[in-house]
Amino acid sequence: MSAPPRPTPPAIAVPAALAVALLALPVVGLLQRAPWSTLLERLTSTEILDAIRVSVTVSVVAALLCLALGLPLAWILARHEGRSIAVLRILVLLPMVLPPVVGGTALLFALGRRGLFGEWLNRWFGVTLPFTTAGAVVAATFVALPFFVTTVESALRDEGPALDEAAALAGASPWQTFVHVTLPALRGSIAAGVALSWARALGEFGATITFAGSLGGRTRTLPVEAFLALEQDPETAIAVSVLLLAISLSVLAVLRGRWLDR
Amino acid sequence: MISLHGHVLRGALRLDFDLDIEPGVSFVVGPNGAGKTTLLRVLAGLEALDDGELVIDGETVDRPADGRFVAAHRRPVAMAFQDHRLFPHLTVLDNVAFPARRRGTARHDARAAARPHLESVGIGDIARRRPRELSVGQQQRAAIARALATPAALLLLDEPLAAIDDASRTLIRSRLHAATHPTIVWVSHDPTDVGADSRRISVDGGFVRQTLGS
Repeated sequence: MSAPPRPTPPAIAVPAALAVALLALPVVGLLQRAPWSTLLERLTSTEILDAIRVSVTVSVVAALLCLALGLPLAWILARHEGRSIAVLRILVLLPMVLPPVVGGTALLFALGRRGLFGEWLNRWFGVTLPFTTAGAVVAATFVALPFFVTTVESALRDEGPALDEAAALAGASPWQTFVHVTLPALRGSIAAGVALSWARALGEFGATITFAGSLGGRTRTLPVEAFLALEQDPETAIAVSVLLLAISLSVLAVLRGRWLDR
Repeated sequence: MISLHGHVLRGALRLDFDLDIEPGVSFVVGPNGAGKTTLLRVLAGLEALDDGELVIDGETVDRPADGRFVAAHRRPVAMAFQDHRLFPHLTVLDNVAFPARRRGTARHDARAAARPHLESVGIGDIARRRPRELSVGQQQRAAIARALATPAALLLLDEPLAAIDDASRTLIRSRLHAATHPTIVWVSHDPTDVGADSRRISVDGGFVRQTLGS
């Protein structure tokens, strides 16, 4: 048995085709300009290797921070109702819609050396965030956190309180339930949240360059490197872009089972 | 001995309780949507009384007047849910071993103790499967086994035989009657479960109270 063919009206087909073109053309443009013969050479120069190292460190630490901080936050958002939770949810989504440069500027005024909390961090703990690798991690975590929290929160909501209740009636405390039921039952969504937030952290540019600058080997990540190289050495910029494109596609391939198969 | 007096409000609905449940099996009967499951949820601690008092074996577990409420996991209550609610990441055996594990029993011992419960409801052969690989009837048996394996003074059963095939119903029914839990509160719409001489709790028209069987 198969569904009968259903014709697509042109008023739907044409804009949809334009959308596909808009999504596909930049990829094609990038790939046809890529310096394939010297790609490996360009990607293994000292500068690029430094940027790869910074990017990997920053994005992995940011993704782990998203997991450690975002999981409890997602749990609270999913398991509680009310006005304060609604306000909290808007706050969580803010970095998703805020221009990253604005996020970076805000971080600077909050956590910069002269910032509201930065001054205090500096005086009491000797911690300085702007223009350090730690600052780049903070900027990346800021923009990536919503991706983790929304993914895991929606999974927690879908699951609902049914399993929590069953665990309680089997004698499990809320903490035991969290560790032995909630976490393992949601491991797929948690992994997806980590992958998404990691990919977002890896691609982060605006907040990073604003808050952490572009110090080679410390805060100059791959996207920052690509942007700076575009003026003097476009071939290298394209090589870096191809690398980031390949990583993005790999993340999508890993997540395919969760989203593309729907 | 369980005593439940008071009421809960659910939107426009009000359910008034006037119950003293003796040890043994009590069947909960009443029309759909009357509040049979709500009664179980109040006893379990999944819903709180709006007024009144619930005492289980001499311990007051819910009394809104002085803010007393004992959380579900601290009550001496086990429950088989109508919608089964098996843990999807655990095998059938580990689902049934779960209550013992949470009480500090070592994995090996908890599994050994869980096996007889599986076998007693006829699913010893699917111990290693996961819930999504089971038929609805097998899921319900596993949920019953998990409730039977939960040590408690009170066992709550919400339509435990609804998904069990006719051929096995007698076996599971007699297994439930043989449960070691001192008090069993059993929601059923099937007159075969509820013998003419059983104790009954009727839930109807917003009132929950005993109706004497014999």
